[in-house]
Amino acid sequence: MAQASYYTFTGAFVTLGVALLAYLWYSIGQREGAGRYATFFTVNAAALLTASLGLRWLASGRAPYSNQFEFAVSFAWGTVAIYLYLERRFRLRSLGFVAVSLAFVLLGYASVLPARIDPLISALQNHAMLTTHVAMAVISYGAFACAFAAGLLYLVNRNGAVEFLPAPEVLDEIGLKAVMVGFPAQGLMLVLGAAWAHVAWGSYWSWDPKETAALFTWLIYGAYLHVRSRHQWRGRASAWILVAGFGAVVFTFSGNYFLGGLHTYSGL
Amino acid sequence: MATGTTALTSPAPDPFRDGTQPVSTNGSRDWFDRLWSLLGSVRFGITLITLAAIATFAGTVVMQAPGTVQADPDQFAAWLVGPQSRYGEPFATIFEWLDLYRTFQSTWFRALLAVLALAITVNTTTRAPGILATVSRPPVAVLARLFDVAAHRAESETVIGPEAAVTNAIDALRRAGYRVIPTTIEGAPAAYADRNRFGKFGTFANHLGLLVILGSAVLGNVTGWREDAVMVPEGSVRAVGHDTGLSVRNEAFVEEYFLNGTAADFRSEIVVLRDGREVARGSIRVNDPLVVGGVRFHQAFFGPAVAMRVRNASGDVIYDDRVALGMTYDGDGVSRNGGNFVIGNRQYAVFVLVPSSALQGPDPSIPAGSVRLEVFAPRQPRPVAVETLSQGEHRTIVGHDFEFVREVQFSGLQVVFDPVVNVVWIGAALMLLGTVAVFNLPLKRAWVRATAEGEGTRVQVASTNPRGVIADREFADLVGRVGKACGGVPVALKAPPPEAPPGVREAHPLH
Ligand code: HEM
Repeated sequence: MAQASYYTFTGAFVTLGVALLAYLWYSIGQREGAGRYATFFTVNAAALLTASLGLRWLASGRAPYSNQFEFAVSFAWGTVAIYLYLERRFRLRSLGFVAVSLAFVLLGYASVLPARIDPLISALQNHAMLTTHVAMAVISYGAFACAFAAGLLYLVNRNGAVEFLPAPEVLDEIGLKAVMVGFPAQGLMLVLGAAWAHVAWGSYWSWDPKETAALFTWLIYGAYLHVRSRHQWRGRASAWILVAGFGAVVFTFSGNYFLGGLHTYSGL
Repeated sequence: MATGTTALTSPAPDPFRDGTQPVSTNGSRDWFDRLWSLLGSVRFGITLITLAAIATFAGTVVMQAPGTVQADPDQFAAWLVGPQSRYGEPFATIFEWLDLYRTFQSTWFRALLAVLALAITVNTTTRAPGILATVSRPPVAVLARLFDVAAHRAESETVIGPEAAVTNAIDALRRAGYRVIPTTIEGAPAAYADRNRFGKFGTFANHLGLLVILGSAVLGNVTGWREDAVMVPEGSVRAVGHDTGLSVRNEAFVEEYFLNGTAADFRSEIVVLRDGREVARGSIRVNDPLVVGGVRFHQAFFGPAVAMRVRNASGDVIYDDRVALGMTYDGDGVSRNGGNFVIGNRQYAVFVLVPSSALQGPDPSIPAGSVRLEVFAPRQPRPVAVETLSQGEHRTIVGHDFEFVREVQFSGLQVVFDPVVNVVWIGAALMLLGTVAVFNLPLKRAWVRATAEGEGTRVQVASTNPRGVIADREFADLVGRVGKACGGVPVALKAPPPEAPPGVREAHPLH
């Protein structure tokens, strides 16, 4: 089953690569017709990723979020899932080449990581809590990746001159919508993490570096929501925050390489 | 979020301008007013959130002194050597000056959170009347000109009369989930409709939840306590302290390993005693604490312990207990694990040392399986005796017979009392549900009006919702429903007025 999981992972990687080419062809090559193929391949890549994670879950008997490989794949899954949601909601594909690139890079990163299945140390054996806590991380970071894509394209297409990109107002709205998904999801992630720490260590908050890194990220998106309430700060200022916020996400995600603390043993 | 209310709808009362505030005549009043409006301003709120974010970032990347080190000035001073060599000058000194080695415990960080809480309180109080008015006093009566200038507007023509058209439109709006209030606008039959008006309250729940979290964290710190390292050897009893009268006995410690040697699980069988009488017993593991009268016993760590027995010169047993070797001692250029106990009426302090668990090779002076005893007399910086014993061995030291009975293990427990922790969860739920409500239940408003126009009837629809891809589509959908209900022919879905808030140009349609 672990083998099958790895095959589906590879399949998803390849399929997403094809989807990415189709999105590039659609946007930069300006071929309307490529759009449907782009969506088709992305949906299939999402299905393969779901299957891969599901198989891994079956093989290991626990949710697939317990090492950097699994988390990278899950993060890619979250990015693709939220992107597809936004594509449907806004009926718009011209964000695809950036969002799908991000997911593709994540899968590329995962492909060089060790994919073995390790037994869990006891602090991580609280399945329901672990599953929901990390699921919220996956959804929120996926949403923030999409918000980043929108913010980045906004900065590129600030005056609407780039024809194959969505209009700046639309990008502004997509960024907000993505944060509206990501911000409460990350809030729930923090609260579930606190609940978990409360059960495991007797304190719901220890100012552990991984916790504070996540709080830092959350505060950036909190600032974004308030900045947006001032009309004159919509658009450019907001877009910059989306870019910075995603920097914080990447920092949190890769933080265990240099931060240390209570979370290090989990590899997350 | 704020709904773009045009000047044509009844404006929500502004607490600063509606005259309910006394006109300030004296200086202190003026000063207070200025402070109040500073605290209530969103711009200041953004500044505070940004500062909190920067502080959190600093506390994440700069080394933080552990709690036990912070508590002791000497230890803290010794600890500072680490960051000094890591960051170099001038950073090490700047960081120290900014208290960045204990960011989250620093006075300035706590003050920042306090001001944040105050700003949230003032801002929410200030916004409350406006939001209450939005909910309780819908702008039913508007000027007909709204239908010419609103952000969203459309019209259609129908052959049925104005009254019938509005009645049908009302049905359609209700079916679309709107609350409808029939009215007349400049003499013509009309209706006001809205959805999700209570969603606005989410902002109270959201910000109140934050205040509850911050408040209960402070209260928990004041009224609660925690012991992070209660080390109880197997077979021993240790007092919890904090005037609880509680003590904990470790009946057994059990560890299990995976085949590859990594720790799979460990647990302790413990008994909790109050004033010496058993009140609870249970098995605790990392994710499964024992709770006794609000005091939580968590399994945290474990390590080696030794059973020691000491007899005085007349042969009476004066010490017979187990010593947890959970501390780290540095000396002779080696680090060792150990613990200590006192004998006599504080006559001697006895340190029991074993090779460090972190040590790779053998310890130069303690053979594996042996313990080294260092006996200190009061006020003597050097031990009065140093001896190494193997298991089962007796040795006479400072006139006493010391026996290393055997090796056991100790359980490291975290014992925590936080009487308000459940309030934290209530705050968290308020915060999250409030946020979700605001985001998913945006206030939507629409007006419909029908006027006789030549042979037929003109049906106008307008909405002041902020524009956007999704809002535009929803409005188009609503217009479709109203038009269909009236049997009308849509004439125009009007383009946005030039001064409208950022709207849509052309979204690439899906097919
Ligand atoms: C960490 C602290 C804070 C968090 C997490 C937070 C969270 C939020 C969220 C999620 C929203 C959007 C939903 C809503 O309208 O309720 C919001 C809106 C708002 N917040 Fe906060 N808030 C914080 C601090 C503050 C402070 C300090 C102020 C003011 C001094 C403030 C004033 C506002 C206002 C005025 C809005 C409405 C904005 C609009 O009309 O679009 N908040 N806040």
